[in-house]
Amino acid sequence: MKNKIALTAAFFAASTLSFAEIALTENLSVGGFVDMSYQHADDDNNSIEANQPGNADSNNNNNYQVDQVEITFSLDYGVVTGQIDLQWTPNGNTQFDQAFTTYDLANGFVVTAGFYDSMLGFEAFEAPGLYQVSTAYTSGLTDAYSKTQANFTAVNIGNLITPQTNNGVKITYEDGTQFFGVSLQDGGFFGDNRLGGDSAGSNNAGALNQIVGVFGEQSGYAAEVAYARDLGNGFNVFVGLLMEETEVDQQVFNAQDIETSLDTTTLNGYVTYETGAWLFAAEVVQTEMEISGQQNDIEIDSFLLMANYTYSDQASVTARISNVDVDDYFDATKLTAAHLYAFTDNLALAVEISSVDYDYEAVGGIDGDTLEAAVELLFTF
Amino acid sequence: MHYSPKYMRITLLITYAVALLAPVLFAPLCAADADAGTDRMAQLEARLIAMEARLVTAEQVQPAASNVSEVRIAELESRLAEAEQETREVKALASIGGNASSSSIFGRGAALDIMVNSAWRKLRWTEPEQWEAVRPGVSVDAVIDALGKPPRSVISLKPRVDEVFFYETSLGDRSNSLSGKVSFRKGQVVKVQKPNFQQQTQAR
Repeated sequence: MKNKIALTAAFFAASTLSFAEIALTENLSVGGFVDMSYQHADDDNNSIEANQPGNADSNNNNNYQVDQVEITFSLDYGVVTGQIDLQWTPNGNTQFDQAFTTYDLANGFVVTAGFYDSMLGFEAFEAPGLYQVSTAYTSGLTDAYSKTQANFTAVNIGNLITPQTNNGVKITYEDGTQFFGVSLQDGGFFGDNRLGGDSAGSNNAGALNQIVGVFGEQSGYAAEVAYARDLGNGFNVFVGLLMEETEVDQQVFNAQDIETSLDTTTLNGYVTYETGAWLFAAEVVQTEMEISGQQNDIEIDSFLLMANYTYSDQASVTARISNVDVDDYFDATKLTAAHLYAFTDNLALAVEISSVDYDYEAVGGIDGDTLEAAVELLFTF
Repeated sequence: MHYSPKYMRITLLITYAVALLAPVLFAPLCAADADAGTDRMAQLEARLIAMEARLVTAEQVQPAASNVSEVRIAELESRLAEAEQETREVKALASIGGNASSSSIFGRGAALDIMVNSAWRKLRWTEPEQWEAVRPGVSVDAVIDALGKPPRSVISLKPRVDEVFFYETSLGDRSNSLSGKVSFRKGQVVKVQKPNFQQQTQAR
């Protein structure tokens, strides 16, 4: 498995990257993948086990299932193309993962409109684009990044590091060595499927609730800017910025709603270096959330370092260290070792072992570590 | 129906008489026809000679400026070349279909119909000479120019390959199908697996 950056030219077209294509007609092709795995996790922490005072909580869990099935329909009408990604996940959801259309303005300029993945982030959004089974800023079965604290409902911190998929319009430019993109979206982390105006919901309502308190209507928009360049000699560099503005009607018990503003800024940069059979990557992400009327902003600093070594035509090994630090609240370090073996071009087996050491820094916060193992079979078509 | 012997004898006598008189009566008419044919042949030969003479004269005269533009001629030549190419592709498909296994779930006729209806696939890759331009180091665009867009492609899960183009006539009937693939790394060909055209030729 390889990340989109390693595809060099393909990286620049990351938003329109499909994993495979079977041409059904001259204009319509279909592709996709099936991702299935066995995962086991042991979590050991210092919280008190429910109903058993004095006993430290530790648990283990495993699952063996199809994690994701995705089918991509690609339509090609020359300068106009379209892509619809349908995905199925174990919780029974069948939904659009992406759905967008592009118009080629020529000379490298392309306009994209619809529901598409963020340009930010080193790691691919889907399993076929990863070097490992897990991503750097999340954990598996016993998610160390979303523990329920005293008086604080769990929030998946991994969902607040880099933006995911949003509705919008973007214009991109690429030539053989560089890429530039600007996107106007309904949001970054808290998209509400609108561009401004008031709405009652959010795509990340749980997190928004935790950050600004119980809220009623919200209004928001976001803009993304990204630039990537092939520096030559195996070096690639990427910088990206997300700015999101979210207006929230904060609900106060027995009082009038208070209008609160949440400004979110994400700065993302990464460098990759490829030499011979080695690929090295380093990424930093800083997400800052400023809440009007509150002194303490939320700042999430994350980084990853990765080395991948290909030792045969079919196999590679990867080592990765990643860290997430939420000011005065949380700190976690994850170590990952993974092995990939590709039986054919479209069938691969990945094995991974990860260790997560985490600490919720508030008084009485949970401190623990998790050991996770995973075996994943990936089939693309 | 039954005839009496007497009636049959009378009929035979009449037949002999007609046979004896016929050459005598029709000989002058045949001679007249032969004379007419000779005359007509002579006339035709004269017309042919006259036409040849006019042609020679016309060739010696400078041709008048044509109102057919060079662009139009080039366009017609291009269309003719495309038509010839499509004909070759359909012939190639038909020859493969002609060897379709009788165990195929498709009858031979159905298989031919399907393949001929698949002409949109730009099956020029079924021509061996089209693969000569596909070598390690050439670009994705050059491969598509030579072979057409692949019927199937995949972002490879192998570490040293980015993408693979598969050119296949059939996945289900491997004994009679053509199959080739081209692997890319960083936008350039790293490996070429040509279809086994010799096996196809022998199979025919």
